[in-house]
Amino acid sequence: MSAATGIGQAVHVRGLDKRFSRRGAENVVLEQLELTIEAGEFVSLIGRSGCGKSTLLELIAGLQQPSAGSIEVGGRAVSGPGPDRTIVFQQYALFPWRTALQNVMFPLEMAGSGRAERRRIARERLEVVGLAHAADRYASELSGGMQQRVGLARALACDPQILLLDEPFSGADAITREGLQQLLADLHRRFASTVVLVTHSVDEALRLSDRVVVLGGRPGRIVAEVRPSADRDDAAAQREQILALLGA
Amino acid sequence: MADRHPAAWLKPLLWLLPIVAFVALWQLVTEVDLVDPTLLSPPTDVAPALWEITSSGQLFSDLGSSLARAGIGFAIAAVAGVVVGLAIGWIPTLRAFVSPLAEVFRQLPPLALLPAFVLLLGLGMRSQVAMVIWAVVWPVLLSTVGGAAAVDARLIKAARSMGATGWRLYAKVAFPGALPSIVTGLRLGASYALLVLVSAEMIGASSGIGYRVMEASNTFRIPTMYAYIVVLAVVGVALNYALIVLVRRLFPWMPR
Repeated sequence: MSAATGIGQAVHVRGLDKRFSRRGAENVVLEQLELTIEAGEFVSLIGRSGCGKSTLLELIAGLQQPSAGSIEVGGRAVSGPGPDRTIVFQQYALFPWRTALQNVMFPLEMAGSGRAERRRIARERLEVVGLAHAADRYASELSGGMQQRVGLARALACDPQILLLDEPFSGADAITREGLQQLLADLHRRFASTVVLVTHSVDEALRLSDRVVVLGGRPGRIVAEVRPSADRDDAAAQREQILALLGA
Repeated sequence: MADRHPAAWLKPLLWLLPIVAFVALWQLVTEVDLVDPTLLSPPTDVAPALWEITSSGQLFSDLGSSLARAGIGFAIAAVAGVVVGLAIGWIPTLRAFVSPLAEVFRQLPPLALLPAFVLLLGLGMRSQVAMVIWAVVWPVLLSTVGGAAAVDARLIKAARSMGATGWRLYAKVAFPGALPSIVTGLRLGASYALLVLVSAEMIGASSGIGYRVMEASNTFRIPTMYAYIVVLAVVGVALNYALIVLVRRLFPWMPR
């Protein structure tokens, strides 16, 4: 098992602005954002809809460009998508014309690895997420939870240094969600990549992360940072604190 | 709860029953002289005519030339429609520029253009194939353009995040993403091909099923005329079924 090959790298966000203009009206989504994520750290971004957390994630992924400021991953400025970062979306985004195995092979194809190599790594990743038996099934033949497992396997195919997750489990029912959270925690230990998780769920954020970053306001800014406590009473207090900040 | 799907052994029976009922009704209206049997030949007259054209081999020679013309026209139009459609669908400016024209051409009844094709290409195979191409290319083109333009944005985004750009993004995501819509266009095109070809053959050809229908009618061999019409129905159903099977074989992931 090629565990812990993808040692996570640090993310530095400095003076980040993101603006959209639509029909002359300017919409400032993020303004002067400063955020440092340590190598190997598991950080959750939490906030209400429209606070810019998904935008921040896509900026780190390189799918969008900053209006001002910079994002550095492992000391290099982000200018576009790269194999060092992968993103997992809420709606799985599996290619319906590919089987589970072929989906996991996709990023390896893009990275230019050989046919046998792709097959071997993809099988191994499917095994890691517990889906070796479903390798030849198409997405439409998999349950939502299984599809998201394939999504995770695909994201880990190229040993990314940064794993970005945009509300990956919000479509799942409670039991499935439980299993997926457990899997994500295991994967973080095993692959040792840096993880940035965007979520709506305070419990999910507190349970999984080393640090919870609360975003709020318009334009979005960081209103608090919380390091989840192992102590039950402290954790309950933290939960209340974050909920209060979110205005729940 | 009652099962709303019929049992497997019932399916072929249910499929056959309306056809048998139709043939019986056809026989009946001529038996009771509701319709003059010299104008609407009863199935009992059509069956021997069908046997005659089959056993003499005439049918297969005409079927061969009809299918060849329809097939050549369809193949040319399919390749052109898909290739050009993918290019247009991917480039929004080109799409805005070409789509209205394609829409106009699609609305033109192909048969109305037959005289023009005959003037340009002469009577015979070339003008008939040209008509098939014309009838098939526009629906194929438009559904390809629609499919390529409507590829799930999430899939494009996911592919980009995994390093797909340019040509590879196109070949590995946009094209398969557009396939369901392309297949719909091709199926539509296949039925148009036969439809238009038979019409063209009725007007300006010296072989082919369409020509035989017209010839039999002009020489007042009415049962033979109906025999050829029955053949057209069978060929249409068979082609459509073959296409469905082919699509399921090639693209098992497509929604049924």
